[in-house]
Amino acid sequence: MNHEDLLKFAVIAGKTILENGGETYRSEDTIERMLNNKVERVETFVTPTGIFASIENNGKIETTITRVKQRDSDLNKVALVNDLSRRFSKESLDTLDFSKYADELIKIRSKGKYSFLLRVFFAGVAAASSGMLLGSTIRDFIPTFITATILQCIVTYFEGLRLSTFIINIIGSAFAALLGLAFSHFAIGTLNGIIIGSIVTLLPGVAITNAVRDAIWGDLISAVSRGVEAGMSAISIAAGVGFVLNIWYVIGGKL
Amino acid sequence: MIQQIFFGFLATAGFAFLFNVPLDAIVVSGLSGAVGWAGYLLVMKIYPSTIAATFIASLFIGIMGEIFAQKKKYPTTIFVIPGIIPLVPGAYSYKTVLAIIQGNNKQAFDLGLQTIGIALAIAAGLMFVISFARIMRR
Repeated sequence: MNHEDLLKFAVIAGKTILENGGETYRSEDTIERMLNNKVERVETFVTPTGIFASIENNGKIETTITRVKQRDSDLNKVALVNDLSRRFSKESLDTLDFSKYADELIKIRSKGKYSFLLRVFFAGVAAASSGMLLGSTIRDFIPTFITATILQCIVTYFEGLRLSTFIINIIGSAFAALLGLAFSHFAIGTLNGIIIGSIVTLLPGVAITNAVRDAIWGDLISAVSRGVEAGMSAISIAAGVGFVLNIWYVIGGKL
Repeated sequence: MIQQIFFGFLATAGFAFLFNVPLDAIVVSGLSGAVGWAGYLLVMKIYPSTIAATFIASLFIGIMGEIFAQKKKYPTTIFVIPGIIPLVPGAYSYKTVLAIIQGNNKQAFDLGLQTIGIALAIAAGLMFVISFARIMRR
């Protein structure tokens, strides 16, 4: 087995963590941990959009660059890869059964999420409960639940079409505002409660928090790019909601 | 109060499902969300400042996350990310941009500062826990 394969394998493991909502430093740590006792020197530089890694052996340096384009939140994969990397780091180079680990990583990467219906249902539960925490009344619970479940269906559909997050957020939040208006017009729940509750599932919560976390860790480039990601999401959500509410106001509806 | 803590549990567990957290960790991460929200409500009763309350809540969620991560052998993130979602200033950041669109700059500035403050409070609470956990593990 050669060092190129080791490097490739470790970078794919790091990429899996980054693509599925793991932190930047965890991805860096994973690659370094996996290779530390197998090569002379390993250096990595990970940003939210790409991984640079190089190893040095007998004075020869090998480097690889990997772009990371899609981002998702699938914490199960982060946990599985984390576990795999810890076991891998304990293996020594002589006794390592490389193909076993490679198969395991491929299997992890192809794992699916919970079933669609379950995810839609819990999106509704999460949104309606968050709405309750953010100050809605119990009257908003059912309409928020309905809005969020339909919203989740729409988001999943458009994600399947590989539209950008920006567009998905605009369409989704516009739809949430539309349903909020419909419900509040017939006096089922309040407008603000329904909108704030149901857009919770779109909000860039992970990005905002990871941005500040990266900044404190000293990963300044990651912090800036995650901050931009969070800002873009917030703007697109507000644009979608603002668009619908504005039209409603102009044609003479009450807000 | 108990109703609010229950909704804290539901919200966190719901997000855990959305983020595809392993099945045996979902109830646990919901629990850490409930504890975090209890801390939030407690601080709001004593000293009504959203930023202080958020700091304490994320501190609690971080501590719970570290304990459960040790017990269940999962990364801390799995318990922390769903737990902090209800704390994240989503409603604030949405209101900020809406105020900008409406041309209400002064209000937007106030809301924006509040948003940043809350995000920093979450990060500070988590960092506190993570730094101590690293020292303890050595």
